[in-house]
Amino acid sequence: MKNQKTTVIAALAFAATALSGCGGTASSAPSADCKPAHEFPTVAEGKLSVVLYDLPPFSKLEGNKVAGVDGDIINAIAEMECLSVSAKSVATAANIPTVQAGRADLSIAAWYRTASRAEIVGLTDPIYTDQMAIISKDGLDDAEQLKGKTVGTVDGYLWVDDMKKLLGDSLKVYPTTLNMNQDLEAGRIDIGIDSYGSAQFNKKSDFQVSVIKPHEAVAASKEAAQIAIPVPKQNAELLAALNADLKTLRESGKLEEILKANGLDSSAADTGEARLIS
Amino acid sequence: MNFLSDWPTFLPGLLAGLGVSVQVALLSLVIGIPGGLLLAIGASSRKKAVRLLIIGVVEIGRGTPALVVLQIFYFGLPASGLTLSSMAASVVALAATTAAYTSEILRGGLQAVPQGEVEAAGALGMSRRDTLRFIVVPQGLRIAIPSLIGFAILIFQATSLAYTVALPELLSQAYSIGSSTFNYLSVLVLAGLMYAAITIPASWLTSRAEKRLARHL
Repeated sequence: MKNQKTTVIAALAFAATALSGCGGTASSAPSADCKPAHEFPTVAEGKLSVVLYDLPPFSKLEGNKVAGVDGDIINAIAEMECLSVSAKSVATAANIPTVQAGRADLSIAAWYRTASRAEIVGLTDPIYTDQMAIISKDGLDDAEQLKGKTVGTVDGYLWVDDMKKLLGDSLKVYPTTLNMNQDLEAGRIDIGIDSYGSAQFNKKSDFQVSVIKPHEAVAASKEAAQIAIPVPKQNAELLAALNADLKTLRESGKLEEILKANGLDSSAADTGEARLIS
Repeated sequence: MNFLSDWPTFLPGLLAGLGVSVQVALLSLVIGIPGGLLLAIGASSRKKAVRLLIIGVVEIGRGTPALVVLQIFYFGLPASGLTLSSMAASVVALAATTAAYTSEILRGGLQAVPQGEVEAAGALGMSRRDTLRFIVVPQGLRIAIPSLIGFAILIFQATSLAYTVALPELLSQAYSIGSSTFNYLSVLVLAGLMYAAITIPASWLTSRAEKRLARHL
């Protein structure tokens, strides 16, 4: 009987733990005497609830900790704000609806700043830039060279619509970078189009990665995209705090360090003026 | 950006996706249902080895989620040297699932044909094959039709799984639009309405078919 009682109590305790927070896994808690740099509401008290999908070198989960460029930035911000990071990996397409619905404080997956996106979610100031790159065996670097070839890219990138118009049915759009790279290796597609950082990270020895030359019909080829962190539109305090923290990271040189540590060029931190791609 | 005002811009992409979804569903059913009939007949074979083998195939087919079957056909087969396109892999995977599930529906239909008729056919000297061809299968199919239509609706909905293998079907197009505009809710509602525009009339058809066929049973 006693055993049964213990089991029931243990089960209830487990259920309570599992139901608390947003269901993610939280990294180590900050010390009790920590003073947050800003005040802002979060989904779960004391936690910065983060959603992401696996997009190395920008966002990934290592155990229960976020990692990659965006992950390291969030860890640094959480430290400044005396919060523990509670991270959950969700499907690519589920990231923004989760943030939009206020179920998570933010999403980290190298999101590009665009005008239409800024209408749906709050976007932070630009953090770093990311360029459009072509993955091929012959080192192609011009959108014109891709005509007549089977090309793959990943949903969510700025160039998807323009490339669809340029290449028509020969463009395959994958839900994740992993899926595209699998097909590139299997030979189902000849060419991949990815962000420069991601393409370099996933590059196989018999492929080359080249930054695309500016092409009239592909807006994303003409200027590098600025990366931001999307937050719920209604949480203006969080947006202001993130912007202030990002400024601190930039000024202290920590941002460049993070970029370098994740295999990117530190010049990516030089974003230029904030702009929204329309 | 308004919830409804973007729909006209979403429509062309989604309609193209709907076309692909319908195509995948029809091909899967055209291949899968005859496959299911063969499995249903095989499952009542007099040879125990054949019967056990077929029951095994059906149970594995019914026990494996369609998404897993799809991933195996698409991502697993290239390792063995066979690389199917996303369209072919989707059709083959959904046809395999259809065959496994409809074999049980059809087996139910075949078994519902009164045993007396089978015995009568035997008494008239009809071979087992002719009894199946002229007596059991035509009537069994008729009994199974409402359930088959119901299953066809499920397969049409399951075509959305092909999103994972980069097939530009309806859900894939909706996600694609959503990821560029972040307006997921609006585009998914429109895609949902398009799925409903096919499945709801199909459901009506099922209940009509049920009533109509019940008159002759």
